[in-house]
Amino acid sequence: MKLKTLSEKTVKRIEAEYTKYPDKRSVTLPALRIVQEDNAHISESAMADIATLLGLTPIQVYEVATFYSQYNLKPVGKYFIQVCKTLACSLVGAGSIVDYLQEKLGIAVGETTQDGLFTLKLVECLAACGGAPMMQINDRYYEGLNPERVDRILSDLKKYGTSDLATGPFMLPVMQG
Amino acid sequence: MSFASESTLGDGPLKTMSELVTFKVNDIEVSAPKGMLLIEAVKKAGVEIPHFCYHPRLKPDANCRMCLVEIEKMPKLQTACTMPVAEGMVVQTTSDSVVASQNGVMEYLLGNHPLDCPECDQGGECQLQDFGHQHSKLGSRFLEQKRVFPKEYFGPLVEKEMNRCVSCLRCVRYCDEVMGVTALGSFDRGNGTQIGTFAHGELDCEYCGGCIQICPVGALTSRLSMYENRTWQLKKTDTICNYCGDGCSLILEGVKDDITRVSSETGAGRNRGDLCARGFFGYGAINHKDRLSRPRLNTKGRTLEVTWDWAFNKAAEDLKKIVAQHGPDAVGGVISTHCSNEEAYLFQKLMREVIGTPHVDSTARYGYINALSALNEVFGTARLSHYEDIRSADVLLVVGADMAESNPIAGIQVKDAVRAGAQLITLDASSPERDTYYSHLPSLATQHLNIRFGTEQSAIIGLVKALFDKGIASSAPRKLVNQIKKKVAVISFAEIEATTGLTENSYRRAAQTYAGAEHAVMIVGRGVIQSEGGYQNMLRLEELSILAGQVGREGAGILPLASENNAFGVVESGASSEYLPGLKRQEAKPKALTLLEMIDAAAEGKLKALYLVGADPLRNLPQKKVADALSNLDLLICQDLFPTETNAHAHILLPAASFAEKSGHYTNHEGVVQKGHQAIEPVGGAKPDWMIFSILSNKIKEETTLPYFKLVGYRSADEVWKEAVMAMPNDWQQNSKEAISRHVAAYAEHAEIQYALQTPRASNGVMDLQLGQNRYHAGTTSRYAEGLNRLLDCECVVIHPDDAEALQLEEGERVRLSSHLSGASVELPIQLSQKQGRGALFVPEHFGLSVKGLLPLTIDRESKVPYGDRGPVKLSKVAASTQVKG
Repeated sequence: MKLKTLSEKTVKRIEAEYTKYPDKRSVTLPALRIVQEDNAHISESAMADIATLLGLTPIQVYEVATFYSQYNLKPVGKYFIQVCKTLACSLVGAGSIVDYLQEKLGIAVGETTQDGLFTLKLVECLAACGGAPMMQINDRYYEGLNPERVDRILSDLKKYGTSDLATGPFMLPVMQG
Repeated sequence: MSFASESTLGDGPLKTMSELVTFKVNDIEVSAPKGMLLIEAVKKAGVEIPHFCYHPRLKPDANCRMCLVEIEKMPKLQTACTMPVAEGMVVQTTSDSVVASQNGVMEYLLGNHPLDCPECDQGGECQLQDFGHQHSKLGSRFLEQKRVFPKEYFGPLVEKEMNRCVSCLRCVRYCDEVMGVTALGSFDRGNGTQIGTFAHGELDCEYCGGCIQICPVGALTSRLSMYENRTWQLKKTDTICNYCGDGCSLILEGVKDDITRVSSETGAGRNRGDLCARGFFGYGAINHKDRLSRPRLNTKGRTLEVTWDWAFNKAAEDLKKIVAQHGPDAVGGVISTHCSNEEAYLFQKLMREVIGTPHVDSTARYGYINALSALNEVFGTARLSHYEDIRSADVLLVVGADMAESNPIAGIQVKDAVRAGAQLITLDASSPERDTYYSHLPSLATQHLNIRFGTEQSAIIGLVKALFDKGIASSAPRKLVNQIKKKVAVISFAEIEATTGLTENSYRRAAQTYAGAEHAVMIVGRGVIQSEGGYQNMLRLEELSILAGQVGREGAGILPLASENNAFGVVESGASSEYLPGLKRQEAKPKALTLLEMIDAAAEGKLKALYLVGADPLRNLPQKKVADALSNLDLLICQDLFPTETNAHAHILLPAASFAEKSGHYTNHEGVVQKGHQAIEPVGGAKPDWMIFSILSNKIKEETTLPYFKLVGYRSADEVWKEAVMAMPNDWQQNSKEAISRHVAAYAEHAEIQYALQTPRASNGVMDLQLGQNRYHAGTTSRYAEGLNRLLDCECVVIHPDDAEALQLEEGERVRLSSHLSGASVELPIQLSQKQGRGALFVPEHFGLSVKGLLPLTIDRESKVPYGDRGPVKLSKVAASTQVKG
């Protein structure tokens, strides 16, 4: 079994997942996540490697990888902007937020700015409809968006690497006791 | 599809569904086996439930939602494709809520489907068209743009038109569930979902054509017959595939005398509707422009086209002249195993009765005769196992067979069995790894006995010896058991391991699994049948099955694979030097010569005339020897579809009709006799072989030069068949358990069993070369099929990637193979394959002749089979400067 792309460390991390699932095919999702964490994006040869590891054919991994917007199949910028395009956000102007971002960054959806800082992508509901329209940049949520807030968020990120407009990563409520 | 044919599909659950339940559909009361899916059961009431994703060959997926029905006492509509029928069920398929739901599904599908029916090849046999007419309202509420996908091709033979796709995933599921290839998937999501290959790459698979056939719409269509015809204009004829011995039913479709497409009916035939690349894409040879079309005479260095009448007179006169001068024994004849039973019967009759020579043989002499006569010798029959037995077996032992290449449809039965839980034991020199999108049985095996190249003979002894602990069945005749016990006692597992590379434990485990099975089927391939010691090794395997008690009873048996479609039938019809019709052994005087002996006799000048029907000995035997023998003949009559190296030497060359142009019976390797029907008139001026034999027989008998149409002969193949059947013994198609055990007992009495271990061979820098069959080709006729040539059109040498890496070779690079025996060498490009055994090379046998010259020829002492497919060769890199471009 020869792998082309994955590092030994990545393979070890994937193999550590095996015991958690009834069969190897079920490890496809975590394997893709681990590869993305280790390599920033998931290349075609990495998918072929995952298939080899899990005893699948490459198309079986490709099916999964292309289904979920959370997986990046192309390299993304330092700041990965995911704008929600689902119903609630769309009703309150997600479309114009996207247009604004495209014009401001000078890129179309799916592209990365020349300086490698920003990538723009549309995603399905991120479960923060109360703060619609919203977007996620890397692991942080930004809600109640309008052009002014978008301006501030982008300039904060450029200057400081963070922005205090972030409303935190979305977390499931932890059951106490 | 009829109800009856459904039950031949999945044998799993249906077999046990004897209990009937009564239910109501649209107020019609019917009964059906308990547990049958509603979508099938309602057919009994003449009701059809519209569907896209459901297909009887596949597991239900319920993704298209078209088959929703109303069932009393159930809160919501239910998918009929997943709902088992139960007692007292009351089903409505036309109620308002069902109709509303169907309309809704259709509205969504048609919201995106393009209106390109007039140019779509599926038009006329499209489920979306049919169900659309029945189940959608006029008009649509959709105002949005239809989605548009850019046009793509799946490689050289499949067109992909994603705009037409209804995302039923039947193609994806067929590729995975039936073929086990999993080359297709559905990627992206929502409105953008599409069927495709990994990263939009070219389809790299077995090209069974299953995805095209199972697509309910025109999303996947064949590029071979694009935009040529409308389906309702095509005349459809049921026939039997003419390539390998699997015996697949296929439907030839064409306009006038042009075959433009092949299809198959789900559930029908030995293949249950499944086909392989050869069956689905290999029809191009039928109407090929190079087909021989007029009889030819080669005389005084000239080739002259003549009329049939002239050719018949000439052949009859020349044959009679030779018989008069040298006696009938100076004539010999060989017929191809692609001919029908009728033709083989008439041919042997022509040779034996009309001419009066015993020298008649067939191309089964290249190997299959080993299996047939070894089975007949021991069991009195060669009909010991069927595909049904394979599918219901709990253990399968596959010896020396690469079924995915040689017999893909028999291979599907094995894959089905493995999926149903059977244990698979494979024994061959291939690696258990598989290439990504190609099935390879050892990769599915629970035990792969990965022997050293060419050591099948010793490995079989290992298996027999390993039985002796606790695997001997009580049914095995004591005399046979004792005799074999003595033979294997003097051979040690250490010696066996030294030769085969396999430990005692692996033999023990395999032997115990095999003997311990409830129903085990042994499948034997060319690695045994057509390789050195084939006849004896086949006997050893039969003894193994007798000792293990896995033969001669329901569900257990032996299936030797034939690489030609009628190898079984041609021999059984009597076209064989040792057999009269019905496998009756004949003791002719003088002794009947086999194919190879005829060549020798011709070289010695004893045989003066040779009649070759579809036989091409120059390709299969040492060329110099055959060429000398052929040029020594006074008369060489050849009868062929295409010009060959051999028939270039013919004095008289007769153009024969292909299987599509005649009707006839063919017997597949299970022993199942099936009729193929005539689809088109003979191409050019060709005639069916049976007609040629019939007319020629009359010409010879009549002593006149009457025009042939005035001669009385057989008027049809059916008339020949009636006579041929009468010439067979009464019980020729039967194989009772009692008769088999009687034969086995008799065999145990007289058998003289030979157990010889091969000597271990040091590799000293040479590699082992095996010639064999590629999945895309069969024999040489397939080379004329445009579709198959698009998949593989030249010779190559297959090597394991590890070996290639060690030799610093890359895919496509040219290498030189040379023989230290003959000094000959040949240059070929390499192809990498994971399943190739390390240290071994493989060359498909369908192309060049020269590679044969690298290999030694040995002849079986008993069956006279010439073995020339294996041998050691040296592989060397071709220096860059001498690389030939292209």
